[in-house]
Amino acid sequence: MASAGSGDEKAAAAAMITLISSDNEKFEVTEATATLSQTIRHMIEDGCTDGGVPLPNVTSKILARVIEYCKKHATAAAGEEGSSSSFSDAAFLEVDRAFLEELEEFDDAFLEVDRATLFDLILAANYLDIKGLLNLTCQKVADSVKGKTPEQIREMYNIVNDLTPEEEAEIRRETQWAFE
Amino acid sequence: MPPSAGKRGAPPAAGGDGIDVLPDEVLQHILGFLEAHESVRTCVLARRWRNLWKSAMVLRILAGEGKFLGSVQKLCNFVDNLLRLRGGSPLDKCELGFTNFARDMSGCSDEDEDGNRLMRLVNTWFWHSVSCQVKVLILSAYPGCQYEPSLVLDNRHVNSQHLTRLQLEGVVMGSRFLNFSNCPALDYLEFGGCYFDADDSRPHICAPSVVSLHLLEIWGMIPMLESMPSLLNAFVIAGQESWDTCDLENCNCEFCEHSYGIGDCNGSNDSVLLKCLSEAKHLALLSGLEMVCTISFLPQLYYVSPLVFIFKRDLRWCPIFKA
Repeated sequence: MASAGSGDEKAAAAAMITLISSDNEKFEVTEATATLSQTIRHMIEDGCTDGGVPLPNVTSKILARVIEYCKKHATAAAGEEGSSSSFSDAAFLEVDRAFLEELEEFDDAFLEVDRATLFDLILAANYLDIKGLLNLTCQKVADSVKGKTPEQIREMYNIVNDLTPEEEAEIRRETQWAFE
Repeated sequence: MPPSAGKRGAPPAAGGDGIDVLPDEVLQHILGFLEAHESVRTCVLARRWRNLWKSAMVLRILAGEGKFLGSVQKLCNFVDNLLRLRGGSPLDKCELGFTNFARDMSGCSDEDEDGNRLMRLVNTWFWHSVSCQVKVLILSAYPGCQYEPSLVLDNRHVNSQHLTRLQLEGVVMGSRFLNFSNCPALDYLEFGGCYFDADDSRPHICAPSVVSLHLLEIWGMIPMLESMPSLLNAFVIAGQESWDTCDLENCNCEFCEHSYGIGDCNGSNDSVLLKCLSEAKHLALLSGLEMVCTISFLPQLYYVSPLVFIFKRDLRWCPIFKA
């Protein structure tokens, strides 16, 4: 059993959630980490997390990465709340900046994955409804197509052009104003 | 360039690293991170992509600075066509950005049709996005530092159950626009480099549901804030061009010549800013680029001259802040 976050302070047994990947690997995480996923948050609210949460759409390889993301960002969220009490002088701007920089570095490193893994992460983020992770990964795809021609995008992402030449000409006529 | 005939009709790569593994809603989410022209251009990728852009929930139209759609005419043509084809599909977020708007406008003489058309169309786009149930609306008409804000928004109420965040930059607004009482979900309000046109009286901002308020580099008179019971964060930078700036260090500004009708027009002597802001949990007031004070529950005050006299006066008004 891969145990995650067992050393967290105040991690009472009641506040731990077990996530079960499609290949039946179990991950134990804190509720704070798990509830970055709106899907799991709703399950917890409905009281149906006893005995673990099966995630048949997510492999252990991807789930481990998703949990890594959630742990980091759950800490960040907690830190942000905690820091509000020290909002008493100009230094708070500095603290915030250092904090955000660290998070940004983490996100950049997190995105260093091959394309298939990136799509798996997107699918998992979409299924688990983790807004931050979905935005992060989708932004990465969007950045990669910026400034590319349609032909380059097709090649990059294995898109098969199934339009007939007539259809393509018609679409180009309809959207000529966007290609000028 | 069309692909080779042999490729046509082949099934999409299954389970591989093709983007086709992603569902439509995710592809639309990805399109939302692209600028509008790049998003529209995906319509020729394949049949599946033909209409995806039309129902993407985020619209980003950013023009200017020699980037795409340099000419006013091209820009107007582009946005008109885009809105015609996407129709009233709901929007989560709409970002309209025009750098050097003032310069573009000043290049158009008064009777210039392009200039008038641009102003009218920006209004059309703005109000159209409101009618598309937009949640986050950003309109930036960055004027370029030597120009006054020149993009005038229609002076009417924003009516929206959906709008949660409104950010305006380099925009001129009238008093009617500043009444957000018909936007019950609006919790973030930001004005940057804006001018509030209230016929020489002090403008009022009415935004009862706002939690976070940002007034940055305001031109003209700093507005009077009506009750904001939910306010948690406030950030105010008066800016060099504010009429409420007073350079005299020990001036009793209520009576100095710089005083543009402190209080409201009924002669009431209420605090312009702090009465409302005193309920904020986090408050930063900055004059020019220097910090005047930040206030938490236990306020620490930093006075830096030149002070903006409204701040000086408001701090006198509100003894709780005299740390």
